[in-house]
Amino acid sequence: MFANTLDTLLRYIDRANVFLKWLSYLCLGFILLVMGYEIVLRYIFNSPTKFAFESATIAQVVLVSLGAGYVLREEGHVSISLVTERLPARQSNKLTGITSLIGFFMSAWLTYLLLDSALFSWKREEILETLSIPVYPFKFLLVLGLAFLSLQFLVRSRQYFNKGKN
Amino acid sequence: MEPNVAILIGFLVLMVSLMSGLPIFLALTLTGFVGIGLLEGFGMLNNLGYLIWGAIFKWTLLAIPGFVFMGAMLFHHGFGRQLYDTCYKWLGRFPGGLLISSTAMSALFGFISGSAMAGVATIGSIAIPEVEKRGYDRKLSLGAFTIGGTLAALIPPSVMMILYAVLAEVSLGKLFFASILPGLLLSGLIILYIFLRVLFNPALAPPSPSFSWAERFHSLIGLLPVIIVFLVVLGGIYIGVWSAIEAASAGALFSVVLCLAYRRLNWNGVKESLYMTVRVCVMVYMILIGAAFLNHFIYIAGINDMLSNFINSLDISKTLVMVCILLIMTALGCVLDVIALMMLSIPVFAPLMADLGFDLVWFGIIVISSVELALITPPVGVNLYIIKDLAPPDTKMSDIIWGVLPYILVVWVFFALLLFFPEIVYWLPSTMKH
Repeated sequence: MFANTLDTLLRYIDRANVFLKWLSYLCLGFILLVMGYEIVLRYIFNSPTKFAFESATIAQVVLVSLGAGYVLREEGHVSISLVTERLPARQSNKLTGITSLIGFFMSAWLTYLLLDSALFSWKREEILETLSIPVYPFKFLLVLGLAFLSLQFLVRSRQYFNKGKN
Repeated sequence: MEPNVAILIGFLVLMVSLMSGLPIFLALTLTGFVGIGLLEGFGMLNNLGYLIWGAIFKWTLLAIPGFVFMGAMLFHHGFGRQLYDTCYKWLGRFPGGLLISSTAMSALFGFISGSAMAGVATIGSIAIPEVEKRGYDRKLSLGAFTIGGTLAALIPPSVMMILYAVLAEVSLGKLFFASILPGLLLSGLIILYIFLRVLFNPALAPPSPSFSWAERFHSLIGLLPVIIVFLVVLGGIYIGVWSAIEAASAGALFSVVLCLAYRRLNWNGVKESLYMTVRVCVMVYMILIGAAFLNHFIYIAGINDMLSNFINSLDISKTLVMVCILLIMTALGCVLDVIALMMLSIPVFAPLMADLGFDLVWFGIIVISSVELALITPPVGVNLYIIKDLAPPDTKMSDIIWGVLPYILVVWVFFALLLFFPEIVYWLPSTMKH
């Protein structure tokens, strides 16, 4: 019963990360468009914008936060497979299950640290230098992304432990 | 706890976590957490959340999505294959022509895609069946393809250079131009080595068919898109029209225009390019977060001061210090991945180099070339495994390793040239407008 509920939950997390991938693609599109707009205005009309660099920098942070879980799902984070490749399949899967579990706790810790920093920004009413808008919504978006990354580690851990059993 | 003990424990944690297959960004974070915790108490970690935001909220990093997207669009819309045809038609007639054209293609491919692995996989898949068909010596050929993949990092724009510029705080534009001559020099040395080997022992590579001048000139059409993007991106930086970050965005948009102009734009190519860009950004930025914790540990443990005092106490020449660093990095490259090696070496060695009076742009070129050796040194050299996958089934890993060894010596000749003639690095940036 518990295992079924957990599997259903993990499936939803997996799907959520696939959905977040599209948002991160949108962020990439936004970066390219806003920087293109800046180039046209700066070099053709000689009237550079004030917002382009800062908004593109914000967008790249959001891109990373929303894409992190999906990239893990696609095994896109770099790691050294020297040991895991040489182990028999069952042991290798179990080891990856364990490291994914460590990944879950580590990312959860990072999420907590950033949440603390985001709350601090909120209380201090920190604002972005050029755009003059609050920083905290973007920090909370990064918190959300890291939370989904840590949950994807849990999904990965479950998948590898299941593979290790078979 | 004594810093020396914390450093030792930190190093062990790093090695164990890397070897266990933990993603590199987490291995760096874990090492930072443990080190900081041992030195300042684990409660201190709760105050370090600002490091996460600070590590990636940097406008200098904006060059990464732009350049990666540009390269990915050109790569996924078939401009790479055309490059190979052009190189082969022009260089194929020389002794060892197929290998010489593959090396030239690897260098050009560095501009299309800053990824060494993409380069070695693409060129290997095209050229290995050809060299097998023509009866080329297997060790010489596989070694050439394996080393060729490392050229991508030395040809701008490369993600490695952007990372180095961000971490060592040097001008990205200068670094790009500083790398052009060394990149060409290394390509030239590899080509010279192949040429001489085949000249003295023609049995290593039977002659390839010759092409008419009409065919050669016609093949140049394949180079045109790359030349246009090259002129727009690097030409713009060189004459001071725009910064490297603006050039990255202009290059990305220009690559879309080129795909449209050549009627090659397709949804699959765009989707692959989007994913490749997001993947590289996520991978690199998450590693930067991990590196921020590791660097904080390095700072509070005083590793740079210790190293500096140690080097001063040895009373040896600057050149010998540099040679020692290169040896350490080559040895570490045998067990570490390229990015992990980069993240470890820059914060530790760059301040030391600056103290010794070395220019950090010059050091950047040395670091980037030496970390790329990690791609071809066993047991974790990724290029070796890619080539093994592409090679005929009866190829042994030892054939590839023996094949690549002479090329590693060529890279060391390259290091020696950079050490004794640093103008190779300085000259081009010194002629820049800004």
